[in-house]
Amino acid sequence: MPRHIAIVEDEAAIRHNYEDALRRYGYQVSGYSDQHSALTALKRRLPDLVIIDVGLGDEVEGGFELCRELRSLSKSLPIIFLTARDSDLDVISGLRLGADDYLTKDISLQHLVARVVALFRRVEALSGGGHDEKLLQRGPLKFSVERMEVSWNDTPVALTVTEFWLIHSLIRHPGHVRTRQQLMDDANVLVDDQTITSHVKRIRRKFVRVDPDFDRLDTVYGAGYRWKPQGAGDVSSSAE
Amino acid sequence: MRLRTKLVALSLLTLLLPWSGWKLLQELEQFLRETQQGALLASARAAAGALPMEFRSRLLFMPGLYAPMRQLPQSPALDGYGDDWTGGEQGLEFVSEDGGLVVNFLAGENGGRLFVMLDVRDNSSGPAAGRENPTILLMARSPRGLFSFTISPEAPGPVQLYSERGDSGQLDGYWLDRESGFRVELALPASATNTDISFQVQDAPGAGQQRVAGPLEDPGRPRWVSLVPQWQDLSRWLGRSQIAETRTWLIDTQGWVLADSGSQPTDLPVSGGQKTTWVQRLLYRLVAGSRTRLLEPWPADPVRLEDGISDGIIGKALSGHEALSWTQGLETATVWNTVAVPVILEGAVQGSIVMRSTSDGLLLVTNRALGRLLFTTLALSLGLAVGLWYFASRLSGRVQRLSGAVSRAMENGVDPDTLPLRDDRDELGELARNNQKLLRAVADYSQYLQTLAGKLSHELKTPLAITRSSLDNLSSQGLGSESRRFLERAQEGVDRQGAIIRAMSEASRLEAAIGAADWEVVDLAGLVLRCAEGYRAIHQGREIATLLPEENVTLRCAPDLLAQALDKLVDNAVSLSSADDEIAIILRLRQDRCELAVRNSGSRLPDELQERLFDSLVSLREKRGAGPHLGLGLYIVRLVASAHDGAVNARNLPDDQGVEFQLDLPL
Repeated sequence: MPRHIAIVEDEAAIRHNYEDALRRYGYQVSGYSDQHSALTALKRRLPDLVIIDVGLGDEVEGGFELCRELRSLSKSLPIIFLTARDSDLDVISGLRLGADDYLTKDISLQHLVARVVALFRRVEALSGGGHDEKLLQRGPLKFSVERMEVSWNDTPVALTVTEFWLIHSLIRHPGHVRTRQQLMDDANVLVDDQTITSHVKRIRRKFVRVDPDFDRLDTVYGAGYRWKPQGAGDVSSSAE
Repeated sequence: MRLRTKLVALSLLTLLLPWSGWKLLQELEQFLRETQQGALLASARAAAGALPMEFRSRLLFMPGLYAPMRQLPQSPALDGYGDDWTGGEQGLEFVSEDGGLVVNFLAGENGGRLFVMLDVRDNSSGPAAGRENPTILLMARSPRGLFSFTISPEAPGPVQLYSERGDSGQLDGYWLDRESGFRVELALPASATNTDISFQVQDAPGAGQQRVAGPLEDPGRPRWVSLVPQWQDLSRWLGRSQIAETRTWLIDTQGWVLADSGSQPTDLPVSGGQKTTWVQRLLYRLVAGSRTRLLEPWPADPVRLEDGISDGIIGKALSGHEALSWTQGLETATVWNTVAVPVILEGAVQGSIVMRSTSDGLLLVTNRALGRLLFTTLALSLGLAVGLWYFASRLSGRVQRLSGAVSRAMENGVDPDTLPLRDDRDELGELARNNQKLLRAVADYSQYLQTLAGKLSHELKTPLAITRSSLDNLSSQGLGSESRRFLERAQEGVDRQGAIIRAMSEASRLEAAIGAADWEVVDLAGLVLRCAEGYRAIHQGREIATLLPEENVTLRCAPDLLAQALDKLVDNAVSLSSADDEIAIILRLRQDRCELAVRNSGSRLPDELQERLFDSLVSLREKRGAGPHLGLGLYIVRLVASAHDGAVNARNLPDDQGVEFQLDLPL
């Protein structure tokens, strides 16, 4: 049975385009143009993944409300936010709405699909459990590529998919500087330097919340970022 | 010229007030003077014309040779000094033929006694060898008889002689030798009325030489000098016919006073005898000095009126013309107006009526009026000047405050609602309110411009997303190679649009980032060095130098933002210059700030753009580059600078060496 994806987007043309693209990849898609119709329909039957536009018609932050409602219905429902405004990214992250990823609207459909696939993969890995072949370890950091899970000192750190791939890009070569462009390519996002900076900041904050002494994520001014290997032993990884 | 100076200069115009007052006063003085002299002249004319018959004939038939007989207020001490002779030492003069011997003859009367003074001056120098004592022959005829004396004492001192001829009588006197000549003061036995005198002074300046002076040339036929006392009856008549506060004299053609109306009233009504201060005198000299000569006052009872003491009017009158003068005492407050009118009898000038009025009133009135006028107007002018100065200071202070506040508001984007003078009711308040409106409009406009890019990018994102997703969908359809080519082009265009839109929103995202920036104390030199390494890696083949100070430069800042600003400046320098131009990143430490500058050679800023260079959406690039360029880079630099309370500026280096963009950061 194909996975069911719900798209809540007030702009009909975008909604239809996304619906068409996702259907082409074999998903079952239903589109909704406003908060209420979406909530009514989704309450009846929860989809496997929801893509929500932040601004729904006249309700500038209707998407956030919808997200809260859905999260109260299901803790595990994967949610992707779509936004036209960059400032929303901070809100999404800052409010800890429980979004699993967020994308700006200028993303290409391929990227969108890639994100959806990645998110499903994470859900699968979580539910399937067991085989953790791709596990990276950098000191206190445990990084599961399969499950898209990250933990620091064995405390899980809730990262979005984008953030996950950024960390992944950094820790693959600890100590090496990754430019913002490289990070963008690795995380499969098409944004600018400023957005990368704020992504990194958010990641840093999430780690600091877990460990106030966290300082591994180093800014190299004028160049980019690097993962600081603390001590020689950290460099050695387990299986990759 | 500042407003204050202008108004004070304007207030100087009020000095015209005292000036015109001054002029008015001068005219007033002139008017008073003319009135007074007119009255005096008319009075003198009347006196001269109405001279009673008996005096006219007396004038016409004056003796051939006569000397005035003074009325001495007391008997003079016989001591050879003339200080108890009133009316001055002017007398009848006789000169020897060679001019060496001059005799001045004075006669006076007191209580019926006749006194004579002979003042002899010897012009020849020094006592010569064989010089004889001078001798005086003196004759007097009077109702009491004829007397004759020969005065030739052995030594100076008291003289007592008896008449040699004629009637017997005793002469008392005193012989006083002086430096050149001698003086003899005598009391004669002759009566004081109707007396004639004749005398001769003999002198022998050298052996065999003889000098004589005096009317007595031949003792057998002496020339008599009639002693003429002042005409008391005429004096009384003159006293009656004159106007108040004047004194009238009748003089003969020699200037001898024949009649004198008597002393002027000394108790002057206005001055009350008080002395004027030098200020008052100075003021009066300033007002009327050109019309009033300073001259010694006349002797109390002059015997002879001469040109020397009367400013030349006596001579004029005696030659037949009316004359008048204004004089002021050298040290007194008194101003004299003197007129002289000729007395013409039988077609010839026989004498002159001289009238003199005292007018210290004039001086004082003038002074008082002047003083009050000057004080009032000067005080007024001063008050006005001070008032205007205060007003102007306040005005210019307010204008300065307003203009300072406006220019600060323009520069730093201060809230226009904090402008001073907004609540004032006058024109400046209106100006302030209008400025407030203007500044608000400008602020709104620049706010609009600043947010325009962000808003636009937001609005453009949705249609772009429609286009992009449609194209993506289209690309997954089975398309012919022709259609796929077009699709690729369209996607390329959409990508570029996307890039542009992202660039547009960069500034607004930066503004958000500034609020969330991490502030820490950073070693700036290290930051610059690390950045420069990064730039060298990015812009391969470009020469990027760093110039750092020797001192440690640590600054509390947001290093992320600073690095981003530096990125923009270096990007800017790279794009402004060509491959072989040098780029330098310079860190300079100043007293209270550090300067982070990026300099490149090979370009030049247009003059007209320098002010607005750091504004949003202003670009100076002429050639189109590969990436989108919206003129936001330097605007971002400015945002970073103002987040650090700093400033940015750009300038052309001298001699066309290139361009320097500078970021000033306060320490």
